[in-house]
Amino acid sequence: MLLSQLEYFRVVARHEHISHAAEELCIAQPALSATISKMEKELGVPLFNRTGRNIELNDAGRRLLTHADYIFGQISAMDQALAKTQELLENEITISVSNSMFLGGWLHNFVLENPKIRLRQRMLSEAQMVEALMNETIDVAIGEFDSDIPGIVRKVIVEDEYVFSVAKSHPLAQKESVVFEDIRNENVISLPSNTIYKIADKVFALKECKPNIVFEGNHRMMSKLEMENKGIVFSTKQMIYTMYQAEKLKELAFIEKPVVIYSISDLDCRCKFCLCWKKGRELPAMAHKFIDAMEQSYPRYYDDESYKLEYKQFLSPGGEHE
Amino acid sequence: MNLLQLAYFQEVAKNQSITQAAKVLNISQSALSIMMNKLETEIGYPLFTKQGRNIVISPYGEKVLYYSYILLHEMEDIQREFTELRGEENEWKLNLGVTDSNYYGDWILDLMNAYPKLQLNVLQMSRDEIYENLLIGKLDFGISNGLEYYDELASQLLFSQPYQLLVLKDHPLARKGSITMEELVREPMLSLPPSHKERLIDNLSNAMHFRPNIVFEGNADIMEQMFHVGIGSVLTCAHNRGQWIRTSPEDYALLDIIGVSVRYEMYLVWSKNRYQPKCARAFRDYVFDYYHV
Repeated sequence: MLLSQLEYFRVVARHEHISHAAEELCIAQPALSATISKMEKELGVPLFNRTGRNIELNDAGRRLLTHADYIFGQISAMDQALAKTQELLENEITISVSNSMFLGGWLHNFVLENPKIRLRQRMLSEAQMVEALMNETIDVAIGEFDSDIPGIVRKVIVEDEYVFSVAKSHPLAQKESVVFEDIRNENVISLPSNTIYKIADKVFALKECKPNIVFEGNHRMMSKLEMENKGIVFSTKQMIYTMYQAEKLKELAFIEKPVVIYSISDLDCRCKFCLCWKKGRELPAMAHKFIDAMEQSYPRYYDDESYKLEYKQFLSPGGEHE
Repeated sequence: MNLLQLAYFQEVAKNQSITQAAKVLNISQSALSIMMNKLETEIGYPLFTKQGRNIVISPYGEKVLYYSYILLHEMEDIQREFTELRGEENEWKLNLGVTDSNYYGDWILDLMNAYPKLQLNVLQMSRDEIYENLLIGKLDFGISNGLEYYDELASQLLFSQPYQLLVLKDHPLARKGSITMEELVREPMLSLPPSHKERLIDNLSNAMHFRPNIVFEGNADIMEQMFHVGIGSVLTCAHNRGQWIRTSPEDYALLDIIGVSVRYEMYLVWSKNRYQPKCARAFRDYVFDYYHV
């Protein structure tokens, strides 16, 4: 028996009238009669009682109709399940970001603009990210990639720089400018050692040494410890801007925050934050949206005129070399 | 979409290869390829993704596969029902899924003697696999310890009994007739291997949050031997103890486990949507009779 036969049978059963059913199905009446006869022959029992020109569904017919209704019900359930799958797949994106601070307020807005999004994040080192992009377990990666990688598309999102901050009451805060030797032996507050992206380690690696880390904690804890004068905290200009934006949202006067931010004047601390994806891959729709939105609306600290002024006010003049 | 396409699609999905499936179906590779392309176009979603030389079924393909089983089994049901309407008899063939293959030994032999023409295909699987296979029509019945509710499934509780520990007569607790949870945690026990889908010991230890002291894991035959040389005791219930008893029941003691509220429950489960041919009705009646339900 064919699905099309069952479909015809349903219409005939509903009308209990061959010519009406044929009209609805836009087929010739003899063809429809033949289909029904063929089904009855195949099943070995009549499906309709015939009295003169009238037909009436019988018990066997009603049984078949129950099955036919179930079958077409399941077919429409399948269509719905497929549409649902499509919706889920289109809204799915898996990202990896070396420093979650980097996405700060921006990601929040992106999620609000795409309420159906299903965002997954994987914690990976930058080397692992490249591998994950290549084997397509993540769609996009955001991290510090300073040069091109074969097979990967790389878009620079921010030209950034490592800086550090220190409480105003700290002796270092008296300095006009800071060189690396000034901080070589300073106590450093850092993210926990299981964190993948640690700026202090990166800065000290430029001088082939290791920072003297005295406290580890999350960002909020780090800032608390800093205020308590327990050490200096490394970040980037973009990260500070992101924090500033977040504080502004909370209507807190960031400007009064009692910290001084320094660049290290004798060290090239420039770095590039990039958005990467696999070359030639057909990305999911949500990944395209993510990439477009990031390229168009990611707020860079140097694009914000109003911020630049405030930024310089608490930056040691000697430490700034723009 | 037609039913032949769906049947062929199942074979392609199973083999993850057009070439391989074409061999099984005994048709040419190009014909199968064209057919699958046509099915994909009609359904409107990609059913496969290519990974190197293999094809892998896509998330859309998974959905189509699931419903293809429902549709093809429903077509079989029509044939079964109309066979009986014509006054003919269907094949006496039933697929049964069980979570616990050890317990039904007694009645299944009686059943097969009572209905010699019945071909009973018994597969051991997890509870979830039983439900899934009932829903898509691969199984006629499931016998499951424990039950989760599904709209499309009907069920009947066969028995509900407290878990008990079977020990040899010379076991220190044999005369006491019971065991506390503290004692049970220390008690050396025998169990089926962890690969077994639904172990009694896991059901109990998960419900009571303890780590059992399993001294031996192996299949039921070896467990039975280990038990009789006194390596450890076995978790069971009154209904199932028979499989462990070799000599006279007086040589063993069945200990109540104090403070345990979870019970060992067994259900017969079937799909409400499927037509039950004569052999299925006979099977159900037999099981209900046996358990007096």
